[in-house]
This record gives sequence, C-alpha cells and structure tokens, in this order.
Amino acid sequence: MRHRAFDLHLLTVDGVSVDDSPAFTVRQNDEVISTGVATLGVAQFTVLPRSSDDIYVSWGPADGQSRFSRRVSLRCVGRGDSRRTIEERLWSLGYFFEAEDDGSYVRALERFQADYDLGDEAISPERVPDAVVEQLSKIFNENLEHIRPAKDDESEPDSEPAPELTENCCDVDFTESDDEEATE
Amino acid sequence: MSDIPLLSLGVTIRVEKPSGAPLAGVEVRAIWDFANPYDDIPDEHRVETDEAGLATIPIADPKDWGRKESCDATVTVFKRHHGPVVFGNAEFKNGEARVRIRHFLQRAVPVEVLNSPETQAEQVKWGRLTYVHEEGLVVPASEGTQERKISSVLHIVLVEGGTLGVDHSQPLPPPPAGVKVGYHYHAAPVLTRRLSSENFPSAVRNKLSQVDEELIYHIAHGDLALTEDTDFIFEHHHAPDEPHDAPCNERCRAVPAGYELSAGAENEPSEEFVQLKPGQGAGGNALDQAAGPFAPKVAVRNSTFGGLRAVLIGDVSGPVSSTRWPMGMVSMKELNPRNVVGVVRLAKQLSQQGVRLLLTVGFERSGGKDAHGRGRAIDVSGVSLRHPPSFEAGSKRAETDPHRIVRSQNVDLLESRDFLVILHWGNPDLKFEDPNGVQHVTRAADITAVGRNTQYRNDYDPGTQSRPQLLYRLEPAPVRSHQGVWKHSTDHYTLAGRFFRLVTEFLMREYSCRDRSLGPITELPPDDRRQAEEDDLAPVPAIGSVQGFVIHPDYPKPNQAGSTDGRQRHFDHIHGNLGHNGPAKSGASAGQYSPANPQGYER
Repeated sequence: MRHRAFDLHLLTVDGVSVDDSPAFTVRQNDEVISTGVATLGVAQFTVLPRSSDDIYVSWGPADGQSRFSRRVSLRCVGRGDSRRTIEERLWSLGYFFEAEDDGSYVRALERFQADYDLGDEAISPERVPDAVVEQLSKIFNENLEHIRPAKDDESEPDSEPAPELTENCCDVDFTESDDEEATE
Repeated sequence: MSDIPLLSLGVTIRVEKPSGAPLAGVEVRAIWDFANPYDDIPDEHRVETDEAGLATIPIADPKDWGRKESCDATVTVFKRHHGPVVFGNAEFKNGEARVRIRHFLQRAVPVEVLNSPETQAEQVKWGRLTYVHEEGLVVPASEGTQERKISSVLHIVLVEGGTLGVDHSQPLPPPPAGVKVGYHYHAAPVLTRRLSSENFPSAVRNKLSQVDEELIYHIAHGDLALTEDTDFIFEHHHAPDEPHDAPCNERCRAVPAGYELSAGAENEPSEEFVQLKPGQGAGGNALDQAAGPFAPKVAVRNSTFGGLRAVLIGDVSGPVSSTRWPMGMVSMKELNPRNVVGVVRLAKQLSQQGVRLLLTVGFERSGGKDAHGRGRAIDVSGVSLRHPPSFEAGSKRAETDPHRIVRSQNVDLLESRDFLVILHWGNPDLKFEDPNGVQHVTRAADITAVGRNTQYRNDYDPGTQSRPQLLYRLEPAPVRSHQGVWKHSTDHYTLAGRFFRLVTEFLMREYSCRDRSLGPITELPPDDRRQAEEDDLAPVPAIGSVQGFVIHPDYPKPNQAGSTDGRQRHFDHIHGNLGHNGPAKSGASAGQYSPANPQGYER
C-alpha cells in the first residue's frame, strides 16, 4: 500500500498564494514527519497509508523567529461531502465556527457562500446548497492559484448630488491704503 | 496527490509615520496569551516591516485556543529615533509603541484594539491606533512582488524625532541650576508671529527654528500630520553606545522636505514647493520682484489638525435665509509653516471647547500674490460642534478617524450646533456707541451695501477718535428683534459670541493685526521693534476698536468703492494673516520686505 502524498498550498492571511518559499514542518501525533522548503508556497509531504490523524503544520522564515501554524484534518481532501468534511474544509480556509454549534456552522457557510458569490439559497445544518458543496470540493481538488475571489472596491452612493465646491477666499485687496499706512 | 489550501492566520500591521509614509525595518514583536506546545514555534514572534511598512504576526490555530472565542496579544513596534504619538501635554519619548489586541474567532471585523490611547474621545487625533477592515489598502508593486490588496490592517504610528519638538505656546520650564540658557529659551509663550523661522538660510542649518520645533511638537502629539512630500527629513547622529531609545541630541537635524539636507548644499527649496519665486511670476513683474524670498510651503494631511477638521463651506454669500449650505474638503496644500503652527494653536483651543469643524471659505489661492496666495492667511467662516453629518451614522471611532475624507454634501443648519459668521455675526443688527456714550443699534443690512461708508473709531488712528465706536454686537447676545433673519435662542447667540470672540482675539493676539513684522523681536530693525514690543505687551484690543489685518463684521473700516479690505467684504468670515498681505506698493518701507529688511513677509 502506498503512502499518501499531499500538496499544501500555503495562503497568506488575505487568501492568496504565498509568493516566497518558507521553511515548513509537518507533525503527526507529535512526531515530525516532514520538513523542507515550500517552494512558492507549496509544501509537499506524505503520510502513512490509511493515516487519517490530524497533522500540525508550521511554516515561516528559516531562522524560526516567526512561525505560522495550523492544525489540519486530512478528511478535508477527497470527494466526500459529509458534514465533517465540509467542516474541515471551511476550517482550513479560515471560516471558523464553534464546535457542535449549528448556528455558528451555518453562519460560516453563509460567509463562504457570500464571499464566493454562490447565490442566496437558504442554508441549514442538514441542507447545504449544492453550489456551496461543489465550490468547497473544487477548491480542495483542483489546483486553484488564487483561492479567495477578489472583490471590487465598493463605495456608498450619494443620497443626493454632491454640491460643487470651489475655494472662494475673500478677495482681500490690501493695497496699503493711506489710512493703514498711517498706522505704521 | 491531494491538495489542501491552508490559510495563514495572522494580523497584518502597517507601521507608518503620521504622514502615512511607510516605515520599513521596524522591529515587531508579538506574544499571544496562550502557551505554544511546540519547540519550533516561538512564544514570541519577531518580524520586521517590509518596504511597504507591513508585517504579519502569526496566530496559532483556534483549535489550540482551548474553546475560547478570542485570544489576546501584546504587540510592540520599535524603530530607533522613533516613538509613539502622545496626547495632551504628555512628554514625547523615543521608544516602542505597545498595543494590546484581541483577535476574535468569528467576527466580521476580527481584531479589536484594547488599549487605544486615552484622548478626549470626540477629538480627531492623528496617531490613534486604527484597525481598518476591508478597506482595500493597495500595496504597490516592488522588485519581485506584484501589487497586492490587503483586506485588514492594524495601523500603528511612530513619530521620528519627536523629542526635538517644543510647544512654544507654553512657557518653557526653568532650566536646571547652572545650565546656560540657549537662544530658544523663553519664560513666556511665544506668539505665532514672533516664532523664529529660517526659510532661506545661507548655510546648512544646525539649529531648528521655533516654527519647525513647534510643528514637530504638534506632530508628536497627534495634532498635525504633514503630507509625505512635505514632512520633515531627519538626520540622526547618535554615538554607537547610546541607548536605542535615547532622545535626539543637539547633533540631530531636521528640515522640511523642501530643503536639501546634505551637508554643504545650498538650502534652496525644491521646485515643487515653490509656486512663484521672485521675478518668476507672470512676466517677472515688479510686484514679484518686490516679493522677496518665497518660503517653501507645507501641506496639512487631510485638512485635519488640532483635534478638528477644517472644511470648505460653499456659497454662503447667497440668501441668508437658506437653511442648507454645501460643505466639502478644503485645500491646505501650500501653507506657510508659520501659518500651520497658528492654525493648530487655534484649533486646539477650539476643539477643547467642543468644536469639531472649522468652517472656512479657503486658506489659499494657488499662485496668488497676497497672503492667501502665499499660504499665510486664514478665513474662518464659522465653527460647528458636530462631525461631518455623513459620518454620524458611523461609529465614534469612524467619526474621529482623521483618515476619513469629507465628501461634498449639503448640510442642514442645526441650532446650537452650527455657528456661521454670515448668519450669526454678520446678520444680526450692528451696535455702536456715539461720542456721548449712547448706544445705538442699526440694521445689519445697512452696512452690507458698499455705499454705507461709515468709518468708525479706530484706536490706532488718532484721526478717528471723534467717530462713533463699534461694539461687538454678539455680547450680550442680541434679543430676537435684533437677530436679523435668523431667530435663535439666546443660548445659541451666546455660544456664537463666545466662539467668534475666541477666534478673533486669537488672531489679534497671535497673528498680524497692526504689527506686521515676523520673527523674534531681537532680530527686528528698530522701527519695527518698537511697534512689535508695544503690540506684544498690550492687551488684546476690544473687537470693533481697531483696524489691522484681522477683519470681521465689526471692523471699523468700511469698504471704499472697489476695495475689499473693509467690513462689508468680511460680513461672512474672520480674516487673519501673518506678515504683510502683499508686496510693497512702492519700494520697501518699514516692515516690508527688502533684502536689508527681510522681516514681515515670507518668514
């Protein structure tokens, strides 16, 4: 039976691919199972066959003065669409929620639905729209360079036409009139 | 092969100057309030800001937070010769800025600043910690990186060279026993017009002028931010063994960006700050030749200073019965540095009285040759006790965020909140006292027509002593029958009278009223010095009693036909300027510019 191989696409806090090559470490059950350099933000590692325990990944500059770290469930890969898989995918992408809290789980799904512009179909813990499930699966099963869609800048519309304003300083013409000269 | 996208969890911070310029190479340290179980992940994260002033502090996975919905961290930022903005009269010190933040698991705005420095909560101060979420900060492309957008940023401001700042509006504390008093020592406040300024030094400057010292002081205290292009440039000369947070010493230097800094260079202002050099105006005419040196100008960031915003108000010279008036951003891009000191001093006094908006019809006219064109004048059209109405739906933090741009809008007048000179000073009936001591009231409309050429008594002019004496019409507050078009409560007019008195008396005391010379009194020629000493020591004249360069609705002088320096042209604003209004009409006389007599103009 072969080891399972993974590509970890490390994203910045703004959801785009890390464009440098940080050093990374992967642990499983408190044992280091892989170290190396994540070339252009992609960390490659393998785990034992049938291993499904969480992994703990840390990455950062080689000098180790600052390290990002995440705990990841390997359940998030593959084609499944169970609630557990959906939860792990959301968590991996930064859509957090309280464990065993349906309301919190739904709100995380709704944020994802809005961010990826996936319509406004109602979400419940038991019924997650197909578009949401498919998008989550797509992200984890296709190599998407930019994960989070960029949004256009939004500005509030004016409630009324903005008035034209021009600077209109007083046109003071101090030509040193005689009476002012006399005061000097 | 299986793919797992994995989001970094972190807080992005941007360390910047009050001007908004990024600070690179800043040491950033962060400690989260929970222990990390792994040896290779430090409890204290250390990062350094990049060329864009950005650094990201990692956050551990929320799975390790122990079921908490938030986690806290202490973040410190440090760069040598820099320190955090301080508020009020606190002493500025070089050193680290320390920020406590809380990061939430699920909130739309994930970070909360826990220790935002204490200020008067309503005032608009630079240097306050701000966390901006989803504002689309664009980080320009640099070598090896593409342009990128940052969605959430914690802004932390550090001031460079703040220990060089001095508040000359306050008396300096006595020097320690045995310490020799230097050139800048003064036991009493220094008036704005008396501050030393060296705009065209002939050699490299070794000592900051008082104008520059006070500008730096206001920057260090959150009352001013110059734009990136006109901010100060510093050169530090510290011994290697000095502590990293040592204050600037006498060898450290600072100059406005308009000057060259390198040793031995002629300190000419760079071209971009020179609108009109002598002889280079339209046709190089005699007026320009007489103008003398042209001081480099500075720009006030976002027209926000001294705890308030300056906003332009539009066509208030229309019907005084209008209940709406347009408001928008005002330009403060080409101001004489001395004028900036003055307006900050004025704004600090007003904002302490609850003023949030300084209403003006403008500070400058680009390329003009009078005091406005040279950035040495101010027109106060009113004050308001509210933030821009379009901000009112936002949070308190948004209302007091100096970065917010005032968009053009029409504003409904609010009683007891908005005080406009045109409505609440120029419109009520005028009061005067005849030589027999009898008070009279006349309709304000009578004085707005150019034909009403009444010259009232001017205490500075012996030839007018037998004329009637104008009185400040707002004290006591006018009764309804004398309020003109705008019928308000007595409280409204009492407040209006108090605010307009504060502005007018400030300008008569600090700006040029009769005395038009600028700079330390010890540097003035004898004729100017006598006048300056007399005016410096005299009490502020009563409003309506003198003529000078502070002009307002109760100014004794009428507008002669075609002239614009009388009360009819100032029934809607209070005018003040520093130094002479313009070049001499014919040659240089006392107090006007000549190479041998440089006081009184561009200083």
